[in-house]
Amino acid sequence: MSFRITCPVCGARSSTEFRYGGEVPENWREVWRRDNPEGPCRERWYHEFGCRRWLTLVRDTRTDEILSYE
Amino acid sequence: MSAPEPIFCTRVVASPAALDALATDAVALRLAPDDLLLVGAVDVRPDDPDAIVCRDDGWALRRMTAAEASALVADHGDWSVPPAGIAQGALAGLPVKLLIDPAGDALLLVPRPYLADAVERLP
Amino acid sequence: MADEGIDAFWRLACAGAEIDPATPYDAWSFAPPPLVDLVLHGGKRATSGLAAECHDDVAGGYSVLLDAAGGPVCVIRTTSVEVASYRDVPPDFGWLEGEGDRSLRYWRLVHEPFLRERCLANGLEFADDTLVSYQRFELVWPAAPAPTLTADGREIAFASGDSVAVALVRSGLHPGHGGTLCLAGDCPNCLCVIDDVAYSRACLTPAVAGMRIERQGAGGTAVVPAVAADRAVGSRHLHCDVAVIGRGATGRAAGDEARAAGRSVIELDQLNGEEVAGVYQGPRLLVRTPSGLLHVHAVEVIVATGASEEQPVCPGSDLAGLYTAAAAEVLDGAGLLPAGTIRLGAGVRPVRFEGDGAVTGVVTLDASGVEVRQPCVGVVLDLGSHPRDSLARQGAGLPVRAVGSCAEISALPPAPAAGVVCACTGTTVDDLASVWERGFQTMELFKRATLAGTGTCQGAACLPHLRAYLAARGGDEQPAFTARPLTRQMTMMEAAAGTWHPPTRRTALHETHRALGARMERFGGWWRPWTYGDTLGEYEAVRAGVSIGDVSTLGKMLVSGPDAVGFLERIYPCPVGDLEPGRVRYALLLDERGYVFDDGVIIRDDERRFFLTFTTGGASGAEAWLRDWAEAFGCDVRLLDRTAALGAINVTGPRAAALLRRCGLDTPPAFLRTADAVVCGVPCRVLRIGFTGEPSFELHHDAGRSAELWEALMAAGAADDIRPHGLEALLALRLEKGHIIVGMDTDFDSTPRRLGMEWAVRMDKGHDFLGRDALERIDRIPLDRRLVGLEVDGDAPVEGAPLLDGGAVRGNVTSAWRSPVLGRAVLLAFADLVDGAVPPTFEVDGRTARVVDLPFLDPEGVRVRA
Ligand SMILES: [Zn+2]
Repeated sequence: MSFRITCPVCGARSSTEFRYGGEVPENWREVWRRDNPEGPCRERWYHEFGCRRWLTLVRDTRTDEILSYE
Repeated sequence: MSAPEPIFCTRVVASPAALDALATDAVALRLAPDDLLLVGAVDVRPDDPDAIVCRDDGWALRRMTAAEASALVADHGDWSVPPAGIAQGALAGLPVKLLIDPAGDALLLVPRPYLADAVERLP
Repeated sequence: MADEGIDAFWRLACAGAEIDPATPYDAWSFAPPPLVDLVLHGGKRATSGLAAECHDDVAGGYSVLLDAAGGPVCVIRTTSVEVASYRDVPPDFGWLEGEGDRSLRYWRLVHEPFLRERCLANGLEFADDTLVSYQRFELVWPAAPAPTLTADGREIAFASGDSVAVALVRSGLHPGHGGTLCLAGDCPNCLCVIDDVAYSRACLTPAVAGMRIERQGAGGTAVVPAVAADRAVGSRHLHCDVAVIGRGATGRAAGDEARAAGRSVIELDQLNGEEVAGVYQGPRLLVRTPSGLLHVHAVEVIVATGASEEQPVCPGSDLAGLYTAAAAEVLDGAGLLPAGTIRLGAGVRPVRFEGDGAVTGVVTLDASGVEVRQPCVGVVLDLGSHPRDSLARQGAGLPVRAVGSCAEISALPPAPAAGVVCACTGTTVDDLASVWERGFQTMELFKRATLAGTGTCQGAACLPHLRAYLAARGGDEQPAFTARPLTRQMTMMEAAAGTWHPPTRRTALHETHRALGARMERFGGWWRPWTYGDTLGEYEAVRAGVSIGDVSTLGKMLVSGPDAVGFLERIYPCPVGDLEPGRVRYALLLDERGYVFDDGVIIRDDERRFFLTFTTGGASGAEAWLRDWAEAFGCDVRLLDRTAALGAINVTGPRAAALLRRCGLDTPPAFLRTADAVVCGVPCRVLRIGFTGEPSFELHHDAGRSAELWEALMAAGAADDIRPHGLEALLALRLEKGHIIVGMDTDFDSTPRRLGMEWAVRMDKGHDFLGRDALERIDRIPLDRRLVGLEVDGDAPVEGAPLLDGGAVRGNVTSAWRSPVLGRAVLLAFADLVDGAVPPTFEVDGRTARVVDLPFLDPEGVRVRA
């Protein structure tokens, strides 16, 4: 099931409007490193159906609850 | 309601401050802090040496009332339309822009490559 | 009467119903007026009002009922007028008023606010003993015909306003063959296939003339009918602060409280046809309604669904003729509870029911524990109730809270001793015992081992009995098992409502292609002309004359900004900073692992402004890719996707340059050069490239002028027999030149080295770039396979065909085409290296394939530069 993501430009939308960009790497040289945590995960989402901009958020991978936005 | 019509617009990509300072009478949709879509041919010169200003033929437009826009989004979207201003999101699986003016008019903009899908999916 | 229209209507009615036209009559409308529809079509035969306002109403009087516009609708005759206190509302009045589910509960739900309002208007205070005028009437004119529906193939009449369950009872049928009826949506005992929708709750479905019903019953499997998908189901989304499920007194109070606090409220009740089928993250409620699916997005959900009456568990509990107290009230109101029905007292639990199909006797224990048998034709049970909390439990961990009796903890019944516990799955008390003996002794294991609670009613009927059984066997008192969506049956059309397949984009030339007879195919997310009907002829036109093709689908981006050069240096594996304006540079795009995922060209407009192209398939991801890295690198750049805004037409062939000269382009750019020019009156960015192997000029222009430019080129090229080429010809043309198509001739792990394209990577360019670290490491590992060119005599083998070497699979064909110019088939293929080298031949499609140098045609590039 989808969940809601609040885009800072467009407002709350279904996660299906976004392209998943994966975990935010510690540095860009190690982008292949994925911790895949069970719990809070800092990750990137791209609002493909709206403003076409990226946002960074922390999602609980167990519940899909968005814990915070940056 | 009528089908969307291909239109031409003016697209301005510039620093947010330059776009904030831009004065125009044109119908304007701020797609993102650094991205402005103006309906029609508009001569604008944002205060940004790296600004991109160009004609944008990528849109089709349909005029409607704000009430019709709300009904359309309720039937084909999973978000709600603000009382005024711009809204962007998926409508019947298509990426659309809405501009609601407080007087009760609304514009629906659909990317031109999806025009035929919009006609089929948004009666 | 003053109104002539009403008077004319009255005279018409008098003629039809044989009334003396001189008889006095009244004319009025209900509050609200649309209730008059229920008189005509819904079986409404009573009305009520504040006694203080109804002094003049007498039995025998005629009334013309008016609609909202004041127009006459029908004539009724009042048959009785009673005055009694609100608390003493006659038991059948809910039914006669015909509103909602016709229960007294619903009657109170809508009449209390109405009476309060009338009291206020009369300076009175509403209380339980407020006097109410209860009036019954009959419909005099026009007469309503008795509607019918089909049940198990038989036509039966029903009364307007009946639910399907009541309609079936009215015709002497148990709605689901047997089992205690609750008529409240809780039990599985009235399940029917209604108009092809299996597992429908008959008690919640209003009967409609012409309906087709097949009784299914608890545990009855239905052959789900194959239905033509002609009933499109809509899907709506509503947003609110608070969603309240259940419009009983508790639910309404919760709604009022939220509204008073300034919060927006949506109230839902299955009595209004709003069945909440599931609670999802958000929280979001999925609601079935007669007009389609409703998604309610709320900040908070309040579940006020009340309590459901306990179902009996004992031998014979599957017989017909058993009712909960609430069901008995509804049936009694409709006059359908047969004489000879026994009412067991509150809390009296039967030992067993007796009968064959229908109940004929009930056995209970008397005070001294002795069995007493009473003959009967029906039994009304009153076993108490349990919270109707499955929606609240679905919302565990979400801002969902239960209020009222839904949140109360009920006492467990005595452990069941015999009989069916879960009617949906047929689980018996013996089954529970057997499972217990095998060590499944917790609620979740019970559910999984017996399937009890997994049926249509999702535990609404069996859960208290399962808990009681576990508690009695010495287990700790177990909480209810996890509740999950859905709690209501869902049709495939409903499941698909509001979902859309990804749209396929169209270029501005779509209709132009169709008018030319093109066969359109989906490719890379776009509709593209595959062939105009003569692929070989289209190919010939490019190789020998001049042709145009629609390449509007190419991804196109503008990049500008102080960091534009530095940014693109990090994006591309080729140098960017040394690119001069007016030049076109081919470039690969690598991901962080050094794998090729796209390609295109780079053009420099000025010191810090660039125009980039991407493949058709890569275009949708290019913008996200660039924006992500611009942010990661902290580069100050402006990005604009121009894919939809710009059309592009490729003019190609030995006579292309000559054609363009005639079209106003005096000096067509040389190979890998670009220029801005006006072609046929249309401003264009002209890119001289060579994908087809012939001189090629991509004309990028405002998409709104695509059709105009296309027509003008076709007209100007008529003397040269110009013709358009489709994608099939284009794929062949580029294959002869050995040009790859990313996604077709690449795998997910294709490094430039595996593609034989090391020339497109400059490790020494003086800038770090995406994939560089990975390539450095990969280059230390010996090459294991690479893309090669192969030639085969005869027809082209199928794409994907294996490369065999001594019977072992050594690779696969990625592209193939029988070249008319070369007279044999040419292939691109991935081939494994053997001892560091590609073997000279492979077996493909039972034939010998020879490895040859690429390109197959014009290796010196004489043609393309001409
Ligand atoms: Zn957005």
